[in-house]
Amino acid sequence: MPSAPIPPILSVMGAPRSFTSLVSTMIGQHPQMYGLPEIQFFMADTVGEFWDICLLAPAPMGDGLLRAVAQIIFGEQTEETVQRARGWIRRRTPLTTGRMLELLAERVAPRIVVEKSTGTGYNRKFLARCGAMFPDSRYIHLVRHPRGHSQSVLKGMKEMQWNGRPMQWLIDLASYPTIEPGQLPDSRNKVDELDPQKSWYVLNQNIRNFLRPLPPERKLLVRGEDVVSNPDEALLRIAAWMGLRTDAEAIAAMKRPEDSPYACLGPPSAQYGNDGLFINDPVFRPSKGKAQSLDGPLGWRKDGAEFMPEIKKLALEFGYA
Amino acid sequence: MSFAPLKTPLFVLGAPRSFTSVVSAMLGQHPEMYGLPEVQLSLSDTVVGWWNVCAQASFPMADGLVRAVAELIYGGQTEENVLRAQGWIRRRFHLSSGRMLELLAEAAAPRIIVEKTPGTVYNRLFLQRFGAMFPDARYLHLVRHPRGNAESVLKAMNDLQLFGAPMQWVIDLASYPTIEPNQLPDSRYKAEELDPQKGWYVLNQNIRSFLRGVPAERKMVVRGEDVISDPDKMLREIAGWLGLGTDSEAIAAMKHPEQSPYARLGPPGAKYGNDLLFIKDPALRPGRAKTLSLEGPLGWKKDGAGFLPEVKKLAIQFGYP
Repeated sequence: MPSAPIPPILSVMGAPRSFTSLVSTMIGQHPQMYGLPEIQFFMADTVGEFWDICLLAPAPMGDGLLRAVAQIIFGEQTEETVQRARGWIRRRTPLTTGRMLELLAERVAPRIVVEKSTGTGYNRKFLARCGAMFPDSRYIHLVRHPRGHSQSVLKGMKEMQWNGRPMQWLIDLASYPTIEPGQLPDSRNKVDELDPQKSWYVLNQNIRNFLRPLPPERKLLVRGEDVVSNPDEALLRIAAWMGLRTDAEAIAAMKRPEDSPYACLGPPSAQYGNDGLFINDPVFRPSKGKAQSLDGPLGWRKDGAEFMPEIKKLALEFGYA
Repeated sequence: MSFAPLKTPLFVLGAPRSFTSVVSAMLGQHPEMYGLPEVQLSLSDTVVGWWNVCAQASFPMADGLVRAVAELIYGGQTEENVLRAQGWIRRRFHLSSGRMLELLAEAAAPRIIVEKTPGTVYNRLFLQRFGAMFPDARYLHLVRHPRGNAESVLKAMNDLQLFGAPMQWVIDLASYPTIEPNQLPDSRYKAEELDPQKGWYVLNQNIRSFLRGVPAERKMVVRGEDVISDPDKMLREIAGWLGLGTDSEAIAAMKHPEQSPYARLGPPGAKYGNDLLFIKDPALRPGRAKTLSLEGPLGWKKDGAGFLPEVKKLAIQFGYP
């Protein structure tokens, strides 16, 4: 008998540095959901191609899948189960990435898989692949104020270094030369020209364009700041939209992202698989945070420039002031 | 978890317009059998190859498999399940086409699947592919009188139109320039030269050549006219050959092809997947068809010619007078 069909998965889409690790982990702690680490599956059609991309990546990109397989298939994350996970994945390289994700989803069913791969939003092809492989998925588009996002990117360049250099994906986030649709980063950009507002725009537009044809019941726009400042209300809204339990116990569980098996460093050969800053400090602390403005000069621009008009307009549509 | 070996599938082979839809649907209604729509899997080695063939086809060729997955895996052909089925198939692009058919067979077990894909008989490679993937399969070679077949093809050129033109596969059937083995249609043929007897000959010869290597107990030649004019006798004979129940309840069920979940239009997104004329009017109306002759002029030939000697000879071997 083929396995029973999996329930539709939940994909959390958002530009990096938009609370995606925190919020997707919180959602995954709902008793009827299961939050995966960051796997980045939709960059490739097959597991073999995906694994090749991981081997060439400047960061340890395969860790998320290794940890998920160790935990879900082999029952725990130890150095030994990570090694077994490596073989298990290797033996399945001809599979499509979607089938591999489905295999994990089958094991955690009836819990609903929460998948978060910030890489998907970079490329229309990745988004289309995700849509074609999981045509009944639901999507949360997680957004952040463009000022908070930009500051977080620039802060990340200082705090998240790999071999003494800012991580490439952060440099990329700050290096979009224009806001053309489908624009890619160009890290030959000079450092004094770094301006993360452009990637904020391009990545959020990519996601918006992808989600546009979907019926309203399959997509939800969530401002990350609302989850951080008023978690009970925001998490209840998400659980209700998913049609899942909204009792106090379920919401309380969601406020403990640190209970996720992926909210810590993994065994030595698969330590990451999620945002490094989140892994170092996964405890959720609600905070009001000062409201940010769309007006006024941008601290990272020497010329005193403000947000581009397109960015302001999109941020207003997301409900930012 | 281990799987019980698959029960031997039954493949119905026949030239199009040879009662293949109605007879396959009838067989599929036997309580121990499961009739699939036209899944077209034999046309490619892999599911991704199948997808590419479907994408280039002149008709909605993927609908049969999508409907079968919606029905067998997701429990019903609804618009939502059609969407899910598309993703389920997509996530299995890496599979061989035979493995995909086996998954359907596992889902239908313990019933034996009845598979009918008219495209299979066009090409030795297609016949040999499933022959190799299912070396214990049984084959029912369904034949029709060449005059009835030719008249049906020419009638379908009027009755089965898409965008105001005859469907390409029907034109092809009438456009075989010669009766050489493995001849392919040539639709640059002028309309006044259309002569479906050649397609009848080539396709039935393809099947015969293929079945020559199959032992006698695994193949049976059935005249479609016999099933229509005396269904009780013929259906009992076929069920007996397959080693299945021949009680009157089983035979009565087989006389209701319209009870098949595929004997009607599917939901939006996968409406077809079977012969459109059959879908429009799937009920069996037993009745003695008028006896056709192998002698005398062919109505569609202006020169008053009769059947080619090879066509006559083969029809006589099939038991036509």
